[in-house]
Amino acid sequence: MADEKIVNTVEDYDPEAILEVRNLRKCFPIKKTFTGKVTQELVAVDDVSFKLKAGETLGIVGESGCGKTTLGRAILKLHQPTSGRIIFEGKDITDYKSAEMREIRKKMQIIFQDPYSSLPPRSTVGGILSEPVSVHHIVPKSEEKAYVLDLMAKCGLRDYYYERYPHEFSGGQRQRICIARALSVNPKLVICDEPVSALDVSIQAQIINLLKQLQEDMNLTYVFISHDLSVVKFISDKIGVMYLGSMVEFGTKEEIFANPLHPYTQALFSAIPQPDPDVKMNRIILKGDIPSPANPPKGCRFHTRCPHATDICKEKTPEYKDYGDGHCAACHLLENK
Amino acid sequence: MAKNKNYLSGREVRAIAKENAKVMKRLEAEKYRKCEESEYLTQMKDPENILEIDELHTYFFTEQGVVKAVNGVSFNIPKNSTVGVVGESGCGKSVTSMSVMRLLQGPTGQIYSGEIRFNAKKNGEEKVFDIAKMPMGDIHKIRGDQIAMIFQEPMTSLNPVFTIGQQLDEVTFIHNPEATKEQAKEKSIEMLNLVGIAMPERVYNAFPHELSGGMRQRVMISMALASSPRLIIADEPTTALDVTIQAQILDLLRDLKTKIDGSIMLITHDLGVIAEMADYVVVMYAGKVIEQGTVQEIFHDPRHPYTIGLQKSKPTLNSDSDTLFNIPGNVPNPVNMPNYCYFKERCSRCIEKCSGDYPCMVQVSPTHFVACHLYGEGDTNNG
Repeated sequence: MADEKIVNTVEDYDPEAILEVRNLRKCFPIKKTFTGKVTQELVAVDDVSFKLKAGETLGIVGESGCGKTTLGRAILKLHQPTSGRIIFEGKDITDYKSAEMREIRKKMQIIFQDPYSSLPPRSTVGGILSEPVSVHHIVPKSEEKAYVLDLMAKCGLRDYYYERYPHEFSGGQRQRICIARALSVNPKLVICDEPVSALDVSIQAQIINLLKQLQEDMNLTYVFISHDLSVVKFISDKIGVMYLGSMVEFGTKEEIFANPLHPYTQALFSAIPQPDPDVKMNRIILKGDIPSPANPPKGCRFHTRCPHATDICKEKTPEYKDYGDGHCAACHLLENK
Repeated sequence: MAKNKNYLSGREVRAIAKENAKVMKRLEAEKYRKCEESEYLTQMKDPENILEIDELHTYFFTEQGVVKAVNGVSFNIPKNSTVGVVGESGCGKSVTSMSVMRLLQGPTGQIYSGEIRFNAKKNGEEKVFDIAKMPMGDIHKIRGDQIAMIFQEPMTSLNPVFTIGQQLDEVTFIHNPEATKEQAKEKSIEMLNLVGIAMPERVYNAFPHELSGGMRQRVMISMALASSPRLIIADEPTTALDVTIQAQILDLLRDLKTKIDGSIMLITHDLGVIAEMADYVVVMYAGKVIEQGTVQEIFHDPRHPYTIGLQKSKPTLNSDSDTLFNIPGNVPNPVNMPNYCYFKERCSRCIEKCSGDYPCMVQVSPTHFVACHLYGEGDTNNG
């Protein structure tokens, strides 16, 4: 079997985890000398590790520029990671070549943020949805159309849309097409990169409910990337909070919301406006802006905006530790407790 | 009508274009006419209001037909208060604000009918202008001076080839031509200080690309404040910003409102922002106001099925339900609007009357109005 050749098993992997990311790091060169030597780098994702069980949803939150999209793309190997390991179903896929990745791509798919620019304008909905099916030989050629129509029905698209072009649809419908396209190859893992942030509130709710429904029906695992904490809370089982490329806190939804450990997570939660005029929150307003990821501050990256920063924060990078039941965080304040 | 209602034949398009050209020509001529001030002076219905929008119709004359982006909108902005306008994209909330500023892209976009009464105060003297009737030559009396606007995207609303200082000074020069360079600079730095920029001297000499999104939005706000306006229109001021920066900007706006003693018209799609900032809320749907009232009334006692649905469909941090409530379907096509209630197709509480005429505004309480057949005249307990 050709399949066996590319199997690259890892001894110490967790059999329950469908996806494991270990110390993942992705750098982009910013400056090069004329010989091509990189003199300055932007560390987009720095030393991120987590495990995800099948059927679970991991929500990744953070502000713009914190590396959440790069992390999502690196998991799919749309960006080759600089270092670290990605283990998918017990196989280390970090060094797979593109031909080998083709087999894996059947099992992992992505839904992009902007439904307006991620659909080819010159093919019909039928064409868009049949292409992955025929490329990956999911069903025999004769059953293809029936398969696609069935898929469209699952995603809430009417069958006469088959002949239509993407420009004829609204944002919510287009996002349904994107979801159908991602699910057309029966994936196990779907990376949702801000799937609802370009949509209106009433349409957002439709798409989130659809994603939840499909997860139950097809036993999908999601990595849900978003900057909207309330959406992430709604859909996720586990939540990772990112700041300037590193994971500052990770844990189950209940743990993170009931007991946020990191000062950034606390500030992020308190910053969300609540749709209730009577709730007057004790708001922690962070001062200043996010530092440039090209030139991150020394020590703890959050110390420039942290209300509790001490001297040690400016010098030493805090360790990412487990503070019980898989609730991890990286902060000096917690170590002293 | 063509066989396929999604497409128009060439003949139909030409007929529409001819019809549009006639109307557009008339409205354009009116817009650029020269006239005396007395022609657009008017009276406020309630002197406590700063702005009164009365049956405003703003249309876009496109090749597919007339898009009634704002179709009979009326609401008031009282002095020293914040009025929030909420709605989904395409509901006409931005077009309303553009009509007030007279920034519509002509000749396609035109104020077709209606009144926008604005209580202007110049040199201690109060005058009421009807903005909708003002010719473009006189609009500078109000625009940028009495009414200022903060736009959605701070990234694109600053000019990239001028420094922040040059752009801020310009505001002072335009509205006060006698000012010297030193005075203008002093005023600009004072404004930058007011919006909480740490090193105003440095920012004054910086170019927009050197600043972050939050800083640029602060600069935009300081620019809006430079002429001490009576009304600030903030069109989605925080949509392009991150949550922690959004919290900073909202805090700043709230703080400034008390300092400058003016009103704010806040346009947003985020109900959370509205709940926090606004005193009065106007909910818009497909070019019409469907509900308006104080913030307490709208959030604790919403009446229109759309308002209720909108609130239920937003996931909140405090709720623990399994599925979100969702409003089925989409916003209707803005060309060829039906003559019954625009929300009928998406509404779960339709009654027989809904197939009839468009519902008119019903008063629920002294400040609370709703346009829905579920609440008949005098029958306010229904629901």
